[in-house]
Amino acid sequence: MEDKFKMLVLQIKDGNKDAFTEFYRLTVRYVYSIVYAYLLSNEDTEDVIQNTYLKLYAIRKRVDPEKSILAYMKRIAINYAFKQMRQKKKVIIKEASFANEEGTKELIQEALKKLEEKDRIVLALHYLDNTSVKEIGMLVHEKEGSVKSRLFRARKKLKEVINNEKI
Amino acid sequence: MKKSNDKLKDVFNDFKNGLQLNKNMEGRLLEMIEKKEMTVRHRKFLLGVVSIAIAAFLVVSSIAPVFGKSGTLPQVIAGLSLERSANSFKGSLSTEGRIIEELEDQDLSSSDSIIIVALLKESDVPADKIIEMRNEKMGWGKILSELNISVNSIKNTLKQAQNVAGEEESNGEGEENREKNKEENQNRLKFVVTKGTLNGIAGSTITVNETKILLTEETTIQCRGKSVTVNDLSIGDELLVKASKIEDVFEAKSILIFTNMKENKGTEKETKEFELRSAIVSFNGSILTISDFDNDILVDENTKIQRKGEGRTDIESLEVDVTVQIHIRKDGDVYHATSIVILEKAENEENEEGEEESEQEKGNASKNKKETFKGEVRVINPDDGILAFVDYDMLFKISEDTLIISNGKAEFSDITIGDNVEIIGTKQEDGSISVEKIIVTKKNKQQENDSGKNNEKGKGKP
Repeated sequence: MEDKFKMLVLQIKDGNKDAFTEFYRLTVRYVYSIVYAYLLSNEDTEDVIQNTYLKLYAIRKRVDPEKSILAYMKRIAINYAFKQMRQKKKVIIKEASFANEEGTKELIQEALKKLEEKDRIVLALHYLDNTSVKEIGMLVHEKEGSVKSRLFRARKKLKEVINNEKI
Repeated sequence: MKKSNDKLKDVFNDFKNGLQLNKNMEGRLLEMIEKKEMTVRHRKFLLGVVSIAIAAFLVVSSIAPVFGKSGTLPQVIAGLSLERSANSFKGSLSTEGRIIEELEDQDLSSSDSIIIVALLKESDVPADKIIEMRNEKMGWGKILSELNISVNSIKNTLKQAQNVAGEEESNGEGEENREKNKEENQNRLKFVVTKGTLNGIAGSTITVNETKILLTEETTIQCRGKSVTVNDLSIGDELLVKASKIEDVFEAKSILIFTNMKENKGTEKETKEFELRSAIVSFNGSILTISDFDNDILVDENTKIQRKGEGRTDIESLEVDVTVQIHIRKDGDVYHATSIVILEKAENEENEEGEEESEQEKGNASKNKKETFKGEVRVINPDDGILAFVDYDMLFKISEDTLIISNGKAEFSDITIGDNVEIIGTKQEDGSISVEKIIVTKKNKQQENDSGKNNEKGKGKP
């Protein structure tokens, strides 16, 4: 997949819009899930996604294809998400649309609502992206120790919810 | 623990996969990218057009005289550069007397005069031709181009002439040159244009930069288009001196003051304002003189003239002997009336009031003034405390405070009809006299005897 991304980045650098569209389709869900887990709002998440990809297109010529483009995207998206949160200063939590009606995802969403904003992004990065504690710390501008305690606290709370519901 | 983590990962993956993304998002994003690219293309196009236009203008302006009489762009730049050099020039440039006279006849700036003199040293072009070209508003760059003279050569001439007089004096070669020039120009006068700072004034000699210049009766001195005298020169003034040089002596023909220190000081320090109240001595429509003020006061359309209590009035109201309150601003040596308030009417009113007041005061004073009355007591009414004289048709009122003296302190009852008394008292509104003191000067002897007999008869009685 990394090779595929490298190739796409090279094409995007040349201004290939088809390559950009393909890259978008391959990565949007991944970026969306992380941002949504933090903002818990479809509208805000869409804004952040739009800004993230516009930014990527604007700086495409400066992107180094040898480096992980996903890490780069993650960084841009998280920064925009933080900005969005600061601007809004309120979390309008809307029900996300789910593919099935089993209730597990709704439960996760409800559990995420109960967590602190930063705990949510830490949890999302850890479980959705397998991001290391060190990298999370760099992304959210916190020390490793703080990230660890956030992770521990959030995980504990999430487990409680899950166990109570016997998922 | 691992199991638990894996379970959470599964849950999050389900969460991720369960998210239903807005399908319009992709379309919107591509649309925005398209718009941004369009804007960038437009900007690039406009920038290109502007760049091409500037480049074309520069190319054309370097060939064609797009700046009209100032010539091409390089000529304009060269002209401005030369003028800057001439403006900052401080030194002496020599030329012929007739050229000085010609320059004086023209209304040329100092930098123009300096450039012309420098130019004449570099070429044989007649001065009047250069002056004519300049008077036609041609730029220096274009003039030099037409005369095939480089700007740099004129700049070098100016540079060499900087403080040439000082150098000549300190340089031994100057002696030789002087001797040589003396022979060459035996009967020919040498003229110089000197620009610099006035460093000294000693009698009729001034020092500009390092050059001593003699002032003669024919020397004209101008400041801002006005003729001034040597007294208006101050150390530090920036001057342009056109002078003739006979051997070592410079004789100033004309002096132009650029920066007058005295004038600057005047505008900065000598402006002051004050207010006076006085009567008009004379007024001729513009110059007003008032008593108690020795200087003429200028009255013009800016002077605000008012009559107290009535508001604005015209200049004709300023009549001799009218009392005015005048606000004066001193601008240098001129006393300018900024506002005049005519007080005449108000003053009269005040006087009338004053007169009334003084009448009243006078009345009060006369009423309250202590008076002395002397006479023989005609009537005594002890019950009402009233006493009257034979000679005066007035009543004297005695009160408890009245001091009565008759061979020492006495009582009102001691006073008898026929007694001669001196009464000190004040006149009251009803005409009576409030008595302060009664001195019995002469007792009525008959009454005294009677009273003495009565006293004897009354002896032993309570």
